[in-house]
Amino acid sequence: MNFDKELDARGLNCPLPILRAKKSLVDMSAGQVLKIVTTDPGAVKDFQAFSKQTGNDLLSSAQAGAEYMFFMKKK
Amino acid sequence: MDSGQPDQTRDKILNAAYGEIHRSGFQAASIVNILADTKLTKGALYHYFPAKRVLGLAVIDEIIQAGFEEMLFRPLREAEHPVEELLDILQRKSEYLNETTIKLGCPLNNLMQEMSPLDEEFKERLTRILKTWQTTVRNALVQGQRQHQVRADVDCEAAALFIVAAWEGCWGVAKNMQSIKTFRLCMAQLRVYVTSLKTTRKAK
Repeated sequence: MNFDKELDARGLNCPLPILRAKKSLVDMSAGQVLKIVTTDPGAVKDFQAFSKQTGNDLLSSAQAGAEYMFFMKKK
Repeated sequence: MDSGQPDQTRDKILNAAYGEIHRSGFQAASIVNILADTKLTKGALYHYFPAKRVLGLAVIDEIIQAGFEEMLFRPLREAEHPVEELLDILQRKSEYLNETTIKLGCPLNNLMQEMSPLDEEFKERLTRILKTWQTTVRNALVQGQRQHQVRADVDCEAAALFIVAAWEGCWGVAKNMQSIKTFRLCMAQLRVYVTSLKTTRKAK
C-alpha cells in the first residue's frame, strides 16, 4: 500500500503510538496516508477507537510476528 | 521557522524517559539509560530538559496526561452515549494486555504511589489527572441520567470516585500479583458495577 509518511513506533508502549500518530497527522494534508509500525498489542484496539473518534480512516491493520502495521488516511 | 528536527529530538527524549520511568520509577530512572536509548549526549538532553525533575514533569504532562486525554477523557466527553463508551473502554483496556504491561503497572498509579508523598509539584500534576478522570466519568454518568440511561437515584459524584478508585485498584492488585487474569477479572467486575447503574429502558 502506498503511503506518504511513516511512523516507527516500535518499542513504544501505550499511549505513545497514538500520541505520536496524532502528532504526525497534524503535518499531513487531507487524503494523505500515514503508515504506523508498532510492537504494542494494545495498539490494534486503540487505533480502531482513534479512527472512529477522529474520523481518520483506518485503511488496514495487519500483524507480522511481533509487529503491527496500520495505514491511516487523514480526514 | 523550526525545521521540525529539534521537536523530533525532544519527542525522542520524552519517549525514552517515559519508558525508563515506567520500568524503574522516577527516582531510580537512569539518565544513562535514556541517553543509551536516544543515542544523544548528556549536553543535548540537558539542552531540552535542564534537570531530571523537569523531564519527569514533562513526561507527566505530555505523555501521561495527554494519553489519558486522548484515550479516555476526550472519547467520553464526545461520545453520544458516554456510558456505553465507558463500558467499551473498560472492555478494550482489559482485552489487549501483555506480560510487560501488567509487570510494570499503570504509569499514573506508579508515579502517584512513588512521588506524591515526596514532591508537591509531582503530586499537584498527578492529582489534576486523577481529578479530571473523576470529573469526566461523573459528567458521563450525569449525561447518562439526562439520556435516561443511568438510574436517577445514582450519586454520580460518588459513583465516579468509586469507578476511578476501582480501576486503579485493579491495576495495583494485578501488578502485585503479576497476573493478567486478575486484572481481567477485576475489570469485568467493574463493568458489572457500571452496568448496574444503568436503567433497563432504551436510550431516547
